[in-house]
Amino acid sequence: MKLDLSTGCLITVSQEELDRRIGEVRRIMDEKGIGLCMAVCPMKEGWRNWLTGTDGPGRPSEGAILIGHKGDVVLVNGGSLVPRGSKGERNYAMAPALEGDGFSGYGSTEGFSADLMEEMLGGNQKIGLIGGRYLRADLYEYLKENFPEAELLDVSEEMEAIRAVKSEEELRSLSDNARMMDKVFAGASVFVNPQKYERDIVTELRYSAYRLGCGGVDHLLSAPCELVSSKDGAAKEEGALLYPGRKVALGDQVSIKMFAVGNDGYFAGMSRLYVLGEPEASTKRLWETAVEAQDYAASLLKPGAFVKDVAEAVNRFLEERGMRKDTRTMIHGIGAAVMERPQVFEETAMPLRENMVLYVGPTVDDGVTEAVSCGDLYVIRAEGAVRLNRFPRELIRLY
Amino acid sequence: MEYYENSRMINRYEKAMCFSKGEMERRFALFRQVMQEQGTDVVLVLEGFWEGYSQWLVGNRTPSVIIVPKEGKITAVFGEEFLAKGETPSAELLTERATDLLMPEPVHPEIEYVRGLDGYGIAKMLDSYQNPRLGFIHLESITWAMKQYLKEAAPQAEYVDITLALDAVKGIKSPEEMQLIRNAVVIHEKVMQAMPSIIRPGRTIQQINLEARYLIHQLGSGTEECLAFAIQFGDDRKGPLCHHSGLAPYPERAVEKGDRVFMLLEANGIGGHFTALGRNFCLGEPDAETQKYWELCLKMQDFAAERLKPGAIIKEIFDENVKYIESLGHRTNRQNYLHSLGYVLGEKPYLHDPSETIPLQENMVYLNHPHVRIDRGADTGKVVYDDLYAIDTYLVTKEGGVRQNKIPRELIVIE
Repeated sequence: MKLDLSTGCLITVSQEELDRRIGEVRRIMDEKGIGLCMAVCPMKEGWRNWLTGTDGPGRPSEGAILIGHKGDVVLVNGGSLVPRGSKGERNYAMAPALEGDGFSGYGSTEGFSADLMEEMLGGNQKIGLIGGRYLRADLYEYLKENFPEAELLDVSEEMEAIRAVKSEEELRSLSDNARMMDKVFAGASVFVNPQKYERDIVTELRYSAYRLGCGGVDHLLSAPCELVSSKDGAAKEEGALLYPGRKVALGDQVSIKMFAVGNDGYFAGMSRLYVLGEPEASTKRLWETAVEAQDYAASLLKPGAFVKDVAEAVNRFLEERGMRKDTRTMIHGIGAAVMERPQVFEETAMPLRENMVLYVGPTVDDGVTEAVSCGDLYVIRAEGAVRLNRFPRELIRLY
Repeated sequence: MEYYENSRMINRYEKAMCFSKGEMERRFALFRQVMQEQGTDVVLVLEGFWEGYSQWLVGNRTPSVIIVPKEGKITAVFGEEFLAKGETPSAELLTERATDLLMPEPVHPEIEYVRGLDGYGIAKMLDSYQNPRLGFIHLESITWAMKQYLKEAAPQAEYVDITLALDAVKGIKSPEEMQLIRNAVVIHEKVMQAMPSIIRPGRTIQQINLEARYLIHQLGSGTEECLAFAIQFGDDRKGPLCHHSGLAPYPERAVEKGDRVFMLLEANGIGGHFTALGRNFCLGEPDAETQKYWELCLKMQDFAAERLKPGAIIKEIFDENVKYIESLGHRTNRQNYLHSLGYVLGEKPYLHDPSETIPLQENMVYLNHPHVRIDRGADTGKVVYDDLYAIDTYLVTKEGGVRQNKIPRELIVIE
């Protein structure tokens, strides 16, 4: 086991698992006749983590991960374009991520080297791109100049499809991180109490996640949280909150939706509702609808189904009960990125498959009071969706 | 009354929004002054969260592009869509599609927030100028897809990168920004002063880091990449110290008597402006070698600080400082130890970048932490940044850099 000192996350991923992922990428490369696969801007959408097992600092529009048919996977740091015959430049703003006690089969360079890419292409003229839409213009022109005959082929769709199906090892990490969220939400019963500001509660929730294995240096990325408190059953409060924000009181409801990155850089998430006192009847009804909507969604999430169709069915379910349509991403893949494919809005080509993991949390909004959501992780099995979180799905009454 | 009281909160609880109307108008005017000097008619800010341009200009890090015309409203564009001809940008931002987005808050009525980049709208703005020039912040980050789109939508435009020209003036802090910096300095000192109660034998670096991060968040840091951790740790007498970047075996070793732990705090304060502070904590009396290197790094820090004057160029300060430490029989490394701070932990001008030759101006704020390489015989330089250094925040004045931190520049001994 290793500790990623850049993020504070434990890295439990095995060498075999990383080899499996690279093997899957190479399988797609074979199928498509690709000589070199390039994950562009790999900090975006979790590709660096998934392909190398680690994450770290850097500029999102820079860097890449190069995968040839054989030899080391190469992490490119920075965005410099190295002239022919040069070994590259050192980017002083970044520290090496894969040196020292890293994994075998990896190397790193500073900047893009056409010499290296030519060697990795091995005479092939097809370059596959993951995240091709992020390809910088200067890098595109560099590739065209150095490989005028090369064809650039975007293989994001194919790669997202293989990443979406989790291995047993990934499922263990995701289950562990679901446990982490169970504990954070159990601890929320301590943090949510009268006289605390929303800000203090969120800080405590994040700290709780950090204690349990969450890591990172930017809490909007590593522990994004949505918390809304209001008087239980009352109409939504309008108007700006002034520093230091809203103070929670007896008789309030507190809705919390939170994601956190845990060990191995995998995300988990949950959403629940807390009430400080006896909940109003209307709040109980709203929460029951939230749980029913989640159950209904889960009942439809089976291999072969499309999340877009499921979301549309859930929206009909909500409208029949007098609720507003949920236009948020109520269902999405989760793993090395907080939102992976398949996703509600975009999904037309990726049917569900066994061992995909999804966050499922329809938002229930009656248009009067604050919206609520019951959100959990589910794994798709042959017989249907199985919830990974164990925390009860009850309206949590405090006091 | 503190400046942040009665300020609106970002996302209910994330941070107090400290962007007065006057300050935002100062920034707009500064930006447009640079546009005029560079002969640009419209400017697109790309990857604006990097080095803090978006936060500074529209109070939000999330826009994918910011469109700044010579006059009229500034548009913060969310999402990655390129709009077709005749299509109108949507006011529906759908920010809930990603969880890390900060909802835009109205920091000034002259800013509008929309979804989708309207290249044809930009072309229309440019049509009113002869030989139109489209300026960019971070032109190097333009994607091939965006370049193709703009070429089709606004083929008449000549492209100009105005980043360095803006850096030269953005780095000069206004009175309002200095107020934010003072708050951040106080927060950093409070946390650093609390560290002796946290660093103690038996605790792991992970535990120490957790508490440092918790304290700094409690006091108001957040919404950006905020650093609060031990960047070096170990026993100097046993070899190079572990540097934080990369991987370490786990379970990690607990802190022991005889260790040195270097704590880095580089975070923002309540209004969102960054500063930095770094100090070494010694568990027991430091040996003579550690003391010697500490005194050397203070000499280097003083050497640089004396030169932080208007007109000075940081590359020249760096080069002179290299010669200075070598004249004392020691070495440094090429760490980026002089950089400005803004709404993120590093902004230009800084070392090892094209911006390093921009002359300093009064009221720029600099992080100053020259490194002295530790001579470990055959093991010298085997661990990245195996050096001793202090980190402090300095204000550029006519008399030289004035240290903003009050915390003593000493090795802090924990008995």
